[in-house]
Parts: sequence; structure tokens; C-alpha cells
Amino acid sequence: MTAPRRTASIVTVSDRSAAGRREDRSGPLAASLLHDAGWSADVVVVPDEREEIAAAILTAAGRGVGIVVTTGGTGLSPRDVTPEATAPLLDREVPGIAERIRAVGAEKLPQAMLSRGLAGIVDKTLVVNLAGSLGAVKDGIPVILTVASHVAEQLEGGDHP
Amino acid sequence: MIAMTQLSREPLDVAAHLEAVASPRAGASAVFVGTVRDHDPEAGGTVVTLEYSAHPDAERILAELATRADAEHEQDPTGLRIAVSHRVGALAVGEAAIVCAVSSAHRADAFEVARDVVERVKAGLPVWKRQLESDGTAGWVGLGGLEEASA
Repeated sequence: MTAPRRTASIVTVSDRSAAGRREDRSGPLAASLLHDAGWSADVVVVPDEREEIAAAILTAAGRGVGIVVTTGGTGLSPRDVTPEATAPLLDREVPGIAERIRAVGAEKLPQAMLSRGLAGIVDKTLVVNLAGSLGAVKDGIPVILTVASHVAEQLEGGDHP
Repeated sequence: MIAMTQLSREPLDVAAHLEAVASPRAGASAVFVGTVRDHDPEAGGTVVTLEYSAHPDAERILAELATRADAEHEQDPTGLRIAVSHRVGALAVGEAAIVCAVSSAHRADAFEVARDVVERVKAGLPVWKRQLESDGTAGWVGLGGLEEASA
């Protein structure tokens, strides 16, 4: 039931991609960056609906993956609900990861400040919201990777109180 | 046949399930009620609330699970009637999370099928439980317990 720890799941949040009207490029890019770092990763695409996003995150966390990365739905438009879908699932928030992702992004593009993405723990899985642009994924995944193994170790350690 | 399946935010009505499976051809009705208990191996202290969240397709999947169980027990020529519901939302200790009623001509089938339906729902329905304890701690329970969620 529990997958090996160096596994990740990408949840692409996009109405248009979920409807097949636009090819999802950010999900595959995230998966390929994770692959390059030795993580296996699969991609699922869901529309911008809270229940669908939450179900995708919980399904992946239930499989025991080490990381769930969502892409998209973090901005200010009314359809952007990824942080709202994620927040009630988190056992504990890890704000430093989200802050660092915004800081790194904003050095190149001020709009990165507008991503409301969260990071935190769901059971034994690190969940991180990234914005949906290719740049956000390209900059965000390396930030996650700098701490991913450490997070996994600490969560594993929680098994032996 | 399937008399009733539902995913409900409201408290489950056990009597309504028995009524749904009532039939002049039935000689036995078995009912199972799964309730929230105040202790759990994954909880350090006393459990006060369980929050159930469900996949958006959960109601359809519940109907499919019941239909499959019904089809596989079709050997009973007098016909089974199955009613099964799962609750979602925040449940207090003692509240019913699942109710399953099955009627058949004879008691053996009613018992057997009621149990089978409950096991299928436990294994296959994409619902997730979050446990709130009396000291304020919260945690997911059996998050990986599903055989394969439909998502």
C-alpha cells in the first residue's frame, strides 16, 4: 500500500486542461524535473473545483507518495481555489517552503508575489502548491527538492516516538 | 435490486433503510450500522469527532458497489433488496457513518449480503476520515485504506 518515499504525484489544476481544450505542459515539466532528481512522478489533471482538487491530493497522499505538487489555481481570479482546497487538508503548514518559492519567483517576475500557494503536511506527505506557469514550475521544483528528502526523513522519524 | 443508495450530509435514518428494503417476499431483513467510536489505534487520546470528506464521484461509486454486490448474489431467485448510505461531514461519537439494510427470502442471504456490501464500501468508496481528539490534535485515519480510489 505504501509507495517508496522517493515518489511524487503532480496534480495539474486547470479547467481547460481537464476538459482537454489545452495540453497540460506544467504537469509534465514538473514530473520531468522530479525524474531528473531521482524521483518518480505521475500526473493527474483536475478542473478548478475544490472537491476535485482535495480528492486528488488525498488519493495521492493515501498512496503514500512523499510529495504532492499541485500546479495552477493559486492566483487571484475567482476560479483560483487551489489554496482553499488545500488548506483544510493540511495537518501542519510549512510556510517557509511557500515563502521561499514566492521569493525565488519574484526575483524574476513580480507576479510571483500573487501566488497564494501553500505548503504543508498531509499525513506523511509534503503537499506544495505551485502556480501554473512553466516558469513557476521550473523555479519551484528545485526549491522543493532542496528540502524534500529532509522532510521525508523527519516524517519517517515520526513513526518512532 | 438496489432499493436506495445515498451519500448524505444529514444524519442517516436506520428505519428508512429498513422501509426501503421491506417487501412481501422478504422473510428476513438484516441491518448494519457503523458508528463513530471514541477510541482508535491511531489516536493518542479520546476521539470526539470524525470528519468524512468524499470524492466528488463517491455517490456514483457507492451505487456501483451496491449494484455489483447485488449482481454477484443473484442466485437468490426471490430477489434481494439492498439499501446502503454513507454519511459525510463532521460526525460526533455515536453517530452512524454507514447504514446498510438487506432483505431476502431467508436470513442467511440477508446477513451475508449485508456484510458483503459493507466490506465493499469500506474497501472501495473514496471517502477520507480525519479524526479530531479531545486535546485538539487532528489527523487523517487510514488514508491509504482504499483499494483503489477512482480518481
